[in-house]
Amino acid sequence: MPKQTILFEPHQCTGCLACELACTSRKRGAFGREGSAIRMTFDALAGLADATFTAACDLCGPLVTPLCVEFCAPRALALGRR
Amino acid sequence: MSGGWTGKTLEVNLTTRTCRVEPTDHAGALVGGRGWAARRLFDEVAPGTDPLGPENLLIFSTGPLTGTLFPAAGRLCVTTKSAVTGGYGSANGGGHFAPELKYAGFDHVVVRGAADTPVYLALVGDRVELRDARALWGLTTWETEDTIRREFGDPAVRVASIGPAGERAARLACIIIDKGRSASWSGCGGIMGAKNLKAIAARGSGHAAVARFDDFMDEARHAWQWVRRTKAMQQMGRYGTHGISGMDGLLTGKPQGVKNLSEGQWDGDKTIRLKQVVFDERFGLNRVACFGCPTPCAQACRVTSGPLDGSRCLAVHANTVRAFGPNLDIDCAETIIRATQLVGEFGMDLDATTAAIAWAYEAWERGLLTASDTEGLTLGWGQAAALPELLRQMAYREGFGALLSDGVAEAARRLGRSSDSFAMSIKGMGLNDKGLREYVGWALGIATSPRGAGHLNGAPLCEDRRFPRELSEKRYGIPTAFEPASYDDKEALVLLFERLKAVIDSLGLCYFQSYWYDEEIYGLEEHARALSAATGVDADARALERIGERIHNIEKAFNTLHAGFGRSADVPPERFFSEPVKTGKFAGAVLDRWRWNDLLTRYYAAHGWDPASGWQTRGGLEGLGLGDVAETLARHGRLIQD
Repeated sequence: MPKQTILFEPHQCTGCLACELACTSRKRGAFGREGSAIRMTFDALAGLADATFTAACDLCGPLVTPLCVEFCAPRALALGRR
Repeated sequence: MSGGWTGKTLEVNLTTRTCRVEPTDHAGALVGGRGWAARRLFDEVAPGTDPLGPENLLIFSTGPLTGTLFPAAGRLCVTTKSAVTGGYGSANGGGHFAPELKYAGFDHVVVRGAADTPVYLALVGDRVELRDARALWGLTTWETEDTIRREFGDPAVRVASIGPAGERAARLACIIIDKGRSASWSGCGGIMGAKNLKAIAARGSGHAAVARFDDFMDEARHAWQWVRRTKAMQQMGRYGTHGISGMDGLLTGKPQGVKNLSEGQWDGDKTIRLKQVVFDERFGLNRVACFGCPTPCAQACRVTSGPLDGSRCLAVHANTVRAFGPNLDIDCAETIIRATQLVGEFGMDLDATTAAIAWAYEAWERGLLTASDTEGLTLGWGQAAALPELLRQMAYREGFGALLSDGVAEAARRLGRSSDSFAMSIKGMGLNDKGLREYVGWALGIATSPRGAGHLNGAPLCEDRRFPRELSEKRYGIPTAFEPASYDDKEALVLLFERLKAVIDSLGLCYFQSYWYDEEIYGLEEHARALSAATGVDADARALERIGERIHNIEKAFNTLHAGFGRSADVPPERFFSEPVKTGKFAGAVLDRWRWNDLLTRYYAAHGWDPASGWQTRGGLEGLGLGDVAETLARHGRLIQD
């Protein structure tokens, strides 16, 4: 039975880190990278974009849309099943 | 509960190699960022200070919204006495550095003095250190960032650094962030190099806190959705400034800066070769956004074949492609990517760089420079082969290129031969822009920009909208906002955007996400609400507008005090008055000197300045709560009594 997960499309990613900011805002009530359950690596010149999730990710619990997905403007992150 | 600001400013004395953390002084009540730094610079840097000397300050600033989720809250403000104009210096860069300063715990970093050997400032892991940079000295900005990250074993360290140009105190040197973002203006890279400061590295575990979190998230979310649904921002994210205004525009016909700004339209076939879609198709990598920004205005590019194989750059913007394309009559896309890479690695302000190179190319065309002057380099319109070597020489102060290392005004002064007649500069700052003949308000904003020749102050973008007069009245309070050739009331537009930009730069935000870029986007009303929620201190749009006017007046006062700029400095170069656009829909457009002077008079009056000289008055400054600024000006005989 596929479970809900967050999918990532690296070619769409622009490296803005809004996903980390949004996640941290919910985890910490403030903005930053420390405390984010999503960890981004982005290096446009090297053609590198990667998203990993720590065990702290709970898909934002009761929210319909995880915050990282909501704030991903280029739609590199999406809620899906795998 | 407070928030927004961290409440801490780092005072760095490079001469004594000491660092002190001080509480951030908000007495000036100028929001933060650029406003705070302008006040600090005015109060502490005395007239007669050598910009490249140890007494100059180099101030790195964030704003109260920096590092938050409000859209595009990642800009860095750099404030200093300009090494180019001798007056007010200000640069502003994107990327991710400013938020990291915030997360490291600082609102501002104020650097004074000069180290006796190269150092870099490390704000990593909750520590503040001045580290030995002798092993970094000589590296490009890209190598510097890579090396520092390796030293800390952390790829998330953010670096603002200078390259070989800054190390040699070249006045067209800039500060590079993230390998492709830049705090460019005012020779700030050269000032940093003259202080022997190679880089600042930041990596903080802290956060940007806000006073009323739920309210702030509402504002941020609202603004975020607003930007995403705005058509103009969607287009910006898709095509960048390159596509929208860099090469002829999306729908064609937009003005270009051609051959040292001597013409306003380029050859059609050459234009097509440098279109954004061409770059996207042949060289495009991921589109790139700055910190917390929904609009990826840049696209990384890489050349994968041909003699320039391997060339790559983080972003080709409008000014980039025009700088190395039409302004030099070069239509080779690979050359533009290579040149963009080099100015990034060497740390050179590309606007000042193209102004100097285009001048040299024109001097060559006029026979004022020959192969014996250039030591064998072949210049002249369309000459792409010389460009990489010329850039290298400019950065390293070697060979013929050394003539250009301090910018076009200095180069023309040294060459003589009446070459200043085609030096594109305002207040000594190199000009790389288009549309000055075609859009009168745009020209006024550029000519009166306090930092010299900048379109990112009061210059409006609205003049090319095709909307009826009634909308102009309703939106801007004047009938002519959408009439590019009209001189009527244009001063009102410039004042409006001067104030908006001053506030935006003080909040830490990017200018594109505002109604400067498109009337549909938000502005001071929304900024005020976000600022109130962030800091817990209520602000409204009118209060912010007044703060913007105060900031602009402090910068103006600095210019008057240090450089004596008046009416004669607030004017575009001669060719915009004497050489009309030759072809295209703006054929015949040229500035009119009599009407320009009348417009300047009205602009000064609108600011409450003396209409004749353009200098400030006691009454005007006291009315803004800047009586002490008036006193300082008066003491130096630079205040108009009224």
